[in-house]
Amino acid sequence: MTRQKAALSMVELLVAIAVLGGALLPIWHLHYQSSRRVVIGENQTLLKNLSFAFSTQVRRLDPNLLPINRDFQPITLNETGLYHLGASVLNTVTLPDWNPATLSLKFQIRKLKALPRENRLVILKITWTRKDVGPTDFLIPTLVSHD
Amino acid sequence: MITSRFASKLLNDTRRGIALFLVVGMVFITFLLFFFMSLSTSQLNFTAHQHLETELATQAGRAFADAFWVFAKDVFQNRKGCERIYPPTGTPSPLYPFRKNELEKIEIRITDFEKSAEILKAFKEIEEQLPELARTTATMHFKVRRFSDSFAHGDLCLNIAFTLKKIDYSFDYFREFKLIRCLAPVVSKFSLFLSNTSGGSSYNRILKSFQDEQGQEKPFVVFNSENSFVAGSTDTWKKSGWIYLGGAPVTLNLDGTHPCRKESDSFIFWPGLYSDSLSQALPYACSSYLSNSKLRVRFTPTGAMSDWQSSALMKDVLGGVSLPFVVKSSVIRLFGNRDKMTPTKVFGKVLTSYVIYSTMILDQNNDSVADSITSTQGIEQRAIFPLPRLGSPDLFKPPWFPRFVTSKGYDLFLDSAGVGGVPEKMSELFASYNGGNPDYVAYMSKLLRDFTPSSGIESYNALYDQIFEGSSETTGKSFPAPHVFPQDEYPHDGRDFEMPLDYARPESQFKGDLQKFDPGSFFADLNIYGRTYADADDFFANSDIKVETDHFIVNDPMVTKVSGALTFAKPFMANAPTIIVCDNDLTVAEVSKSTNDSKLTLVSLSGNIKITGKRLDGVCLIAPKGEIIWQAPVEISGSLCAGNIAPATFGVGGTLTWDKGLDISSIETAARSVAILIGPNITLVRKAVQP
Repeated sequence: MTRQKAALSMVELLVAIAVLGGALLPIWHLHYQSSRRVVIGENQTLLKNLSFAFSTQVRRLDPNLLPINRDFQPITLNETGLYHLGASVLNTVTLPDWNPATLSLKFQIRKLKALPRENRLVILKITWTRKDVGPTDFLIPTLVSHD
Repeated sequence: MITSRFASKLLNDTRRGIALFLVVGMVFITFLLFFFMSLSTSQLNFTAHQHLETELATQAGRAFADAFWVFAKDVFQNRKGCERIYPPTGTPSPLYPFRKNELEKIEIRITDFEKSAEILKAFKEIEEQLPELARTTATMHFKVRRFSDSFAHGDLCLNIAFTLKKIDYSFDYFREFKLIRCLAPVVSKFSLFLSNTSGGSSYNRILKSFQDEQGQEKPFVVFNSENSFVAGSTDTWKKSGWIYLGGAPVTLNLDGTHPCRKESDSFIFWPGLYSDSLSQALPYACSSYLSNSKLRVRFTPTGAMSDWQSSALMKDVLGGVSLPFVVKSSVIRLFGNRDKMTPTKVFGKVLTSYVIYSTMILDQNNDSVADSITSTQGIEQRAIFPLPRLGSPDLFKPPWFPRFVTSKGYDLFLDSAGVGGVPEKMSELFASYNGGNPDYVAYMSKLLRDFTPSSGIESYNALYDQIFEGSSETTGKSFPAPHVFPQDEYPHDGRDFEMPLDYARPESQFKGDLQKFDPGSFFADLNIYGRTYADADDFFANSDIKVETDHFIVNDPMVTKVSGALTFAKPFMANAPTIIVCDNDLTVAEVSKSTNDSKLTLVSLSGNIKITGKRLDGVCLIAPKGEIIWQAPVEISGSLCAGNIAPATFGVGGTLTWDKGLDISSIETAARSVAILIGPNITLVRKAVQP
């Protein structure tokens, strides 16, 4: 009886594992990158939605009722579950949910002195903290006037 | 045996090779799949990023656009502040007449605004809030969809361009617009426009004597400009409000009572009727010496008063005839009053009536002032001898009739023996009743109806001539005065009527027959309206009118129609061009003066307009098929247009002062008469260019 020879020699096996590992490593990297980009894309879309929702609603408020503040204020929920911009109870907006661990929202209300009619410039500041690039600020200005 | 082993080895090697190939192939394909997935997510990430960047740019652009609209609306409200569309005085606006090509050529930049510095400052304030935002520009132009003589409709396109994070953005923000001439066609040029008057002598209702302050009814005085006429400016009528009193003949008697009385309007009245002193400054006409005498005749037009009927002396002046039509004076005074004469052109068959009171005076020193004479009874008096009207040649029977006697009984021919310059016989003065030289008819007292119609002296427009006659230093006084208007405008019946576009351009804005012109036709076109409302409640609840404690206020241009009736119980203030039209009756309390010279036009298409307050400023009231009614004296600054205004309503009294801000034939007003209505400020972005 002739003893049957093994399918792969030790050397061949090691080479095969090395080749396989070398091939799977970039595949894993590509997968990781894609997953991260999807998360970033989701956040960017959320940012866009926040910006649109905030501007659209703030534009309809009465400029006379919006209090001017020097620094950026955090947006807080009031007892009715709406985000409140201070002073009058009418100064509220509804916003999509966001993850406070990655996004923080603040606002500032100013007045454009050059405009001949009553107005407020409401600036929404969204700070997005990413692991790779750290915190990034997005500023969205909205002019509120009687129009 | 060897061959068999070799074959077996070859088979194993082949299997291993195939297995290795399959494994490597599988790994490679997996790699490729993940690679492409990575590419896709990268692209997805890029797209999401682009969307976010564009959204941020859009919001920034919208903030700039909103700031720009504030300044644009400021211009639209005040109709000044942007010379590109509201040019300075004396230049036509490219906005009117409405022409697509002309309108679409208009491009308005920030620098075209009077407040360009403020706009740039506002932009700068926004830019400072956002890092990497700079170089913002704004340009606006009209995109016309439809237009007619009455309106233009389309989109106002505002382009905002700027650089954000080193990327150039350009956005077009749209708002719907309507251009409407906010002054009613034709009638705005008229102080008073009545399509169908009561006609005849129905307006002659004020009965009072020469010395009475007031009659039972009060006059309604129409001032056709804000200031009194200027001597020598015979084209005053061009810049004045005009008068139209319909197609039916109407006669307005002038007031002949004492000029110091409150209601006296008679700018052609001479107080010499009772007084024996005449100032040279008074506007009377005086003839040359008659024949070889030192006698001359003064012509003194005198208006209506009860004395023509009640006084024997006055009756004698008119030849002993009592004539009712010079007893009552008109409740409408078309040319202002004695303190402020505002002559203008009158359309329609509008006639006037008064007496030409003739007095012969002895004037030996040739100063046109009657000399003093003393009667045989020793009574010193002025030598003023009325020349009575004789209705027919049969009554002219010298030396017995007519007699020339002063108010104190001094007879010219019986009592003047030895007085120089007085002939012995009347025949030496007047050769005949008519046809001689001189004849009596030419000099005697007369009624206007005694003149031939071709002379035009009965026409109200002849008073215009009389006011300016002798007003310059180079011309003397005469009666009747030479015509200022063409011969066929005495009277001007309104059939061949033409209104210039403005006095800077040759075109006409209206040419036709005033008797056929319907002032309501412009408002029947629904295209001119910015919005229409189901009823008054809908209007007050949903329009831009602000209902405040003591006022209704409009701050943005408004051209709107309300079904049914409408009542403004509180004072109205229009701080932007405003036209409010309703179908039925319209009631207005008061109209307060606008803060920016804006005019309010209130129209009742088929009903009446009732004024319940005392003062209306800057308003044009139009009731084309109805009447305008007030029940207490009212002061109106603006224009009135109605089917009719009853004589009794005028008799309540008041004043109407035409507002030159309504002058659609003036280039100054025409440029500012176009209102720009803009639609809601919804986000409508056409393009987002990232070169």
